[in-house]
Amino acid sequence: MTRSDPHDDAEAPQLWQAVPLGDYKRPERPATEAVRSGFLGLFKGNCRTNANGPVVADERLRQLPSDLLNAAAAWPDWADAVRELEQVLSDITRPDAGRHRIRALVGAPYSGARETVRCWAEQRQWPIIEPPTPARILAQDESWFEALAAEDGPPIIIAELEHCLLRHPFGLAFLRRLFDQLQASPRACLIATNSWTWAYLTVAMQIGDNMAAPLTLQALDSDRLEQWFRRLVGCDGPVVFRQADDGSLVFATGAASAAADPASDAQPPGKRSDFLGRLAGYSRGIAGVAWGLWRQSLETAASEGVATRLEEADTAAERSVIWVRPWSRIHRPTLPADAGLPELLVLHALLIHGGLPEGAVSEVLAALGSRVVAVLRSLAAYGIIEEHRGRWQVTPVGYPAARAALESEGLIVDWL
Amino acid sequence: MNDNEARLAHIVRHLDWTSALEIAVVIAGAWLLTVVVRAGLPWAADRLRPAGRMKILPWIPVLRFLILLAAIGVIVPIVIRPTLENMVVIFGALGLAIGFAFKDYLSDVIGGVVATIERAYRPGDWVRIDDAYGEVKSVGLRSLSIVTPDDTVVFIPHSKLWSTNVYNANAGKRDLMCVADFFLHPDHDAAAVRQGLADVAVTSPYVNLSRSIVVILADEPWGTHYRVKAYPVDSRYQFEFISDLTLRAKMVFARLGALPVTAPVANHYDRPPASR
Repeated sequence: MTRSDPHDDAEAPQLWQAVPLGDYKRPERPATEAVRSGFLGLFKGNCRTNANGPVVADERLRQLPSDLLNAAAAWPDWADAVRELEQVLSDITRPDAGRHRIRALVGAPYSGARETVRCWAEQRQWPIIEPPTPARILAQDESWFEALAAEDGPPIIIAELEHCLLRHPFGLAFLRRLFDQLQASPRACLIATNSWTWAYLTVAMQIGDNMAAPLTLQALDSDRLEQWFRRLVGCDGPVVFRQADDGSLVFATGAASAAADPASDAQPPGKRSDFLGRLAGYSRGIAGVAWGLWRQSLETAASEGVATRLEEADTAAERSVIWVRPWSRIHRPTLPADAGLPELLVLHALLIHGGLPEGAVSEVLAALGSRVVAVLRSLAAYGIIEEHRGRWQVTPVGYPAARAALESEGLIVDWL
Repeated sequence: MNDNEARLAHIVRHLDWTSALEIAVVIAGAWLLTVVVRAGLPWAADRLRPAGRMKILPWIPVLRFLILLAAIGVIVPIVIRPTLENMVVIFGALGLAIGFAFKDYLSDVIGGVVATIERAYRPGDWVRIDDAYGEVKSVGLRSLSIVTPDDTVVFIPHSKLWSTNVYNANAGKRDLMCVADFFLHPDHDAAAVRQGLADVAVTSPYVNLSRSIVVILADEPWGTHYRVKAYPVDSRYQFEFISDLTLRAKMVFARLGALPVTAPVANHYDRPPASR
């Protein structure tokens, strides 16, 4: 099976854009959703639930099997982003950048900033500075800085600044040493970091004072989300995405797939759904968050009573139909109803650090003592966090609820 | 009808069942409204975002006072004929009676009115009055109640306002300054300790980074006194914040080889807050 060729949407706006932080534009939520969330947002418990488990049983049964899911919404290929951001990334790391030789690309969690920088550096076979372990940070291990000592060579690439941070008195000292060394080095440097880390370090260390203004990946609105999801379709033959409750078209221009025959790809019947607008608003335009919810929404069958003539029309046109669960039935993880300060502090720590090993969570939240483990298990049961490659991290689909809870409590949040 | 009865009839209306019922309805309504304000507003405030909470709580004593005034304003014309002459007679008599019998109570009530107008304390404020320190939970007609860190409720008459200083740590704001004190043996690297303590505050999960963090040090005859002054994100977390600062400061001291003072010193909390 082949994936959609990005050059097929040559007339569409550029999907991946790097803009100054001040130019970041979050997609707006539909008016009814904005009014509802604005009213509920006055209350700090609006992102919490009394439900015990995440997904209702029969919804699990309707989810696409994994092979179909990977064909309909494949894992993102960040080479596309690298291709579109080539000029920007090259400008950042040119040797004559002068005082702008240290640049940062700040991305919301799961926005793809880290993956884009890694992919770009790997294409050039430039070494990427791997972050130290928390134990090395706490021990102030000088040997980690040896990789930065060379005065000539390719640009210094740090793809995960958040993993070089430990919010601990010894961790700040380690980071100061890092930036002193970067300032002293004549080599250009590109740092990719998550927006929470950036927000914290801006206030805690005034990190931006000696660097050029950072860039960020522009949020994906509903049009660009559609453009991206089209690229991720790898099915043979034309595919149409319809909303499962009323058959409305999720994509504006109907079918998706590179194998579509333009001559036979007539506009499928049906009105336009507002699913992507709601998805873009809820996910705050963050690619990975939207992608996680998108995959979760794809189903095997429509709801009872959906007009069969739509299905018949698609079958006659030899279009495969993938059903999309309506927005109101999408499972959006929420915090436990009794979540208190310990849960919020754990979430905050995980976001600032881009995930932490369990032992490191206890180091940065020493005041919580033995409660840390119980809190991690509780949040994982609600789908807000997960353990991935030895690190606890906020899940993509749990991110909006986590962010809303932290913002309502007055803890420092990112600007994206 | 003799003269006294005639004068009384001129002042007081004829009260029948209808009047009694009206008065009962007004009292019941005022009581119900007071219950709603006293219980409902704190309930609603706890469910709002923290910034909204501190906007709602200060209105509770004001609304209760207004409800009381309104109830009196409705009941008095039911009972007496509200002419100027009658008002002078009634309130003159009342003033004489209250002045002798209830002068302490009246002092408390007037103190409460003055405290409300001057905003000396409001629900949600952390105050110290005499030796009681805690969060103001309610401001009643006669007294205010505060809950101490030991979960003890203390009722303090408003008349204390006339004779005692009221130390208000947050004055309607969400946060308040916390001070963590450390006492070290003089033989240590002061610059490194000061930087270390600043890092301890900046890396606390409870800290409000939008407010300044200050580390002060002063030499005393027995050693060096460090004071870390910073703000937690919410006044309710002040004790967790100080505990966290203390816990992690000890790690920094251990790494820097700074020893604590071991000689006995006066209990810090015996001194009034203004001298901290």
